[in-house]
Amino acid sequence: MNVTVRAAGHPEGRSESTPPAPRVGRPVLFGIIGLMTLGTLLFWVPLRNVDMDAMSGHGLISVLPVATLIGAAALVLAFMWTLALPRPRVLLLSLQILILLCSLHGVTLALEPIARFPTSWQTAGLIEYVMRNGDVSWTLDARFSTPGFFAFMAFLAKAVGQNDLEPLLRWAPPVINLLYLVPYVLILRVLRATWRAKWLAAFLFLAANWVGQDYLSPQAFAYLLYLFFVAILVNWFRHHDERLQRPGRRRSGETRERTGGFWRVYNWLFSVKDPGELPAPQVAVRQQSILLFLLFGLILVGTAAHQLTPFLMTASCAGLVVARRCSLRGLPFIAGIVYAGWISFMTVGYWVSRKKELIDSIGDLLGNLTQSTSGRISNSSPQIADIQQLRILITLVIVTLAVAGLLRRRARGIDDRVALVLMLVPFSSLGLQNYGGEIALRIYFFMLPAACLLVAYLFFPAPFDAPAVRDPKIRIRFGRLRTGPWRHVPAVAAASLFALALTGGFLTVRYGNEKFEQVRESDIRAFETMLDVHRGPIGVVWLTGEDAAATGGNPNTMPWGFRDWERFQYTPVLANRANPGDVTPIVTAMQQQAAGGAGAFFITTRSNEDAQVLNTSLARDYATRMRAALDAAASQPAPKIKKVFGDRDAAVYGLVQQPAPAPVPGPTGLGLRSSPWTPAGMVYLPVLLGVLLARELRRLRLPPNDLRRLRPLTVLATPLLLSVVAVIVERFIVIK
Amino acid sequence: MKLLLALLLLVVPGTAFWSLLRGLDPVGRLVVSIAAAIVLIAGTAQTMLILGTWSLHGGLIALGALSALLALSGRVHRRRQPPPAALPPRPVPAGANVTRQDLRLPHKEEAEDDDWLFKE
Repeated sequence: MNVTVRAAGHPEGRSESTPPAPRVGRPVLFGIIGLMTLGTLLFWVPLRNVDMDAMSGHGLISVLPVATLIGAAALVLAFMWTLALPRPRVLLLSLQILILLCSLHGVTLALEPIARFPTSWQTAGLIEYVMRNGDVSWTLDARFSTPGFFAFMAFLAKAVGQNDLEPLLRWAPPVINLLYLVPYVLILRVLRATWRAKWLAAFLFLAANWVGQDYLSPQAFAYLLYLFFVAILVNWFRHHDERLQRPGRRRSGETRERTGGFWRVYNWLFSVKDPGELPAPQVAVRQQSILLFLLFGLILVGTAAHQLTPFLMTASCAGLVVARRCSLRGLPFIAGIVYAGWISFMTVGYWVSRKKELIDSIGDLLGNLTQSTSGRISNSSPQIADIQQLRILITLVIVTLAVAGLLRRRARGIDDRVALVLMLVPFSSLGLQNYGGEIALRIYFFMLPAACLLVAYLFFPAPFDAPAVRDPKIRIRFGRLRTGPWRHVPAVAAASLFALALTGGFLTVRYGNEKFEQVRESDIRAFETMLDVHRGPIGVVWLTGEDAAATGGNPNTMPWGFRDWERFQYTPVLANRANPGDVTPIVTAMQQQAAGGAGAFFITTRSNEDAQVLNTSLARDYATRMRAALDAAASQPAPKIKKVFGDRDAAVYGLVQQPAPAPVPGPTGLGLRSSPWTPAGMVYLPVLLGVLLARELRRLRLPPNDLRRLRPLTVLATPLLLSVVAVIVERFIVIK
Repeated sequence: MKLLLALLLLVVPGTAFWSLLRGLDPVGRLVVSIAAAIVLIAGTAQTMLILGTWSLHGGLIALGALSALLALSGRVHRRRQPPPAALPPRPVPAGANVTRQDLRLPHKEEAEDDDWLFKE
């Protein structure tokens, strides 16, 4: 192994031992910049003339101009071309990543006048509620049991005086994806990989993220915190085990005799490997202590912001500890206790009414899986099913390639333990969450940072840039492509093919449901009209083609509740498939609402109509006929209903005789409940967390072989932990 | 304008945290400071919400006080201890080009002695 390693990756003059990388001619750079500019123009300019109404059930891809797609391909190819250069052009690569990010995640900014995705408008409603009341209301929505994100956004928006949240919603996806890259850079830089692998991973992280969880939402915020958490852990709290490793039993004389197929595979998988991460940087204990406090802060804020993410923080930290890549062995306990404490003390309102349901759902692994894969495909139109199948295909391809990349690195003698742990950890959430169909989506989302990295390793597995010069006497096959200045081209070409396919797939599936995921201005105006016409609570009746229990009775294709959340309540009415002109069930539902004291309105929007056609195979002309019948009913002599708002995209009908406006209940807070042991728990929990934090601080100051001196703190923590667990159990049993 | 204000709101606690972490490399320090700024603001807002003491000015004052406290503690520490003349250079300067052949692999017994003394 006496190869003189020559790094091609260092800029000139960095050190004497590394000769300068081959110069890149100006024409090449100009070519890349030209291609990039051309791609940007081709992508954005034709978007002005897109007819969104022509969209089919396949979503945005059906109306995107060919030039835009060519532009996207040009952008990807320019990026890949930059990867084929002999040394990294950081500025150029960053610029390209930025343009790709804006193009892929911001394409709807140019197409839709207002922010897309109804659910993001609901988040805005929850934020607006906190801004207006300075409080939450656990009875209104389950999301209020983890109000951290709403408090954060409400505080920010209020502090800068931004009362209209729409611009935030519109710009959230590109900005949030940009923010994801910040901690991702920190994760990437500790890895033993070439710059090509790292930059490709950064690109894949953008292009494989079709999940669409990056709108302004608690989960997007919590995911950002998760990335920061993992980045800090792998940067400054990595185990120094790799320094202590020595060839042990596995290299003894006995093992050397192990030959044959089985042992070859065995050695390939388990023999002594290089760690896949660079040696951890040395920092002073003071810095580590500060970072430990920051990690604790991330856990607290993350726990208060989202119900699933803190579990994954705990699990990833525990996974790194088990894989001996994290020195903070007590941190998983801290995170777990914070999580359990929050659920027990703060989300009472949520679990107390669902106790039985929760117990039943725990461990229902199989149900979760089938629900999340097959359940999503059934009884929808073939176009929706196409998109769903493409989503599953992309997921499977990413996972398969990631495993292949892992194996390829292992074959090179590199042990990517951090990446493996981060990829496997999300699966632990499979059985635990009462998330139903969405959990598979979340697993993919949390797997993505590590999976993208491993996919990049498949194309660029080298731990460092290969020597540029080889012994000319040794002839190798395809030598011209494997040595010399062209040696990166085959891998880059293969990666380009994959990147092109993935980008196409991204543009298809990310906006695959755009037909009913876009929000039109009329939708907003329709809801505004209801609020203006009737003061007091409002009962919204909306049309569905199937049992709406799955959506909780809320029209998830409408931007409901973006303002004055507490005034709305919703009732779905089942479509009469035999006779679209039958308005009796609609009027009956409205009269029921009015009897309950709410101003009754029926709303229909084009997004909802399209969704019903695509998802529940309602007749295509159903909405037109229904609207005609409603108009007829409104123009009768002595009508029961009247048209309050109506244009092509949305219509609102209200009862002629509305009840007098009733008072709207005020905020009810977090709905905290007490039990006999709760006061004790309120004391034990902070003390326990303090002791555990002190234990970790002490651990940082102890030499690695002297962990015995942690025992006093462990002894102190054990009874406290038992007490806290007892209080949590007691609360679960007593509070009804 | 509002964007600038929002940035300012993030920059103040971020800078305070930045001043605490002198031993870190610039990129790491920047990323950690961003994380810390988010945590501080979100933590303040959440605490106010949970305690039922939601107020914009109170929150801003608390945030400013917290930032000042952090910056002060960083300053006090700096004054008490003159900055270390940079950490000793890493034994393996070549970074990415290290394999297990290049690493000196001390035995477990060797590593036991006084490696840790030099940590701070």
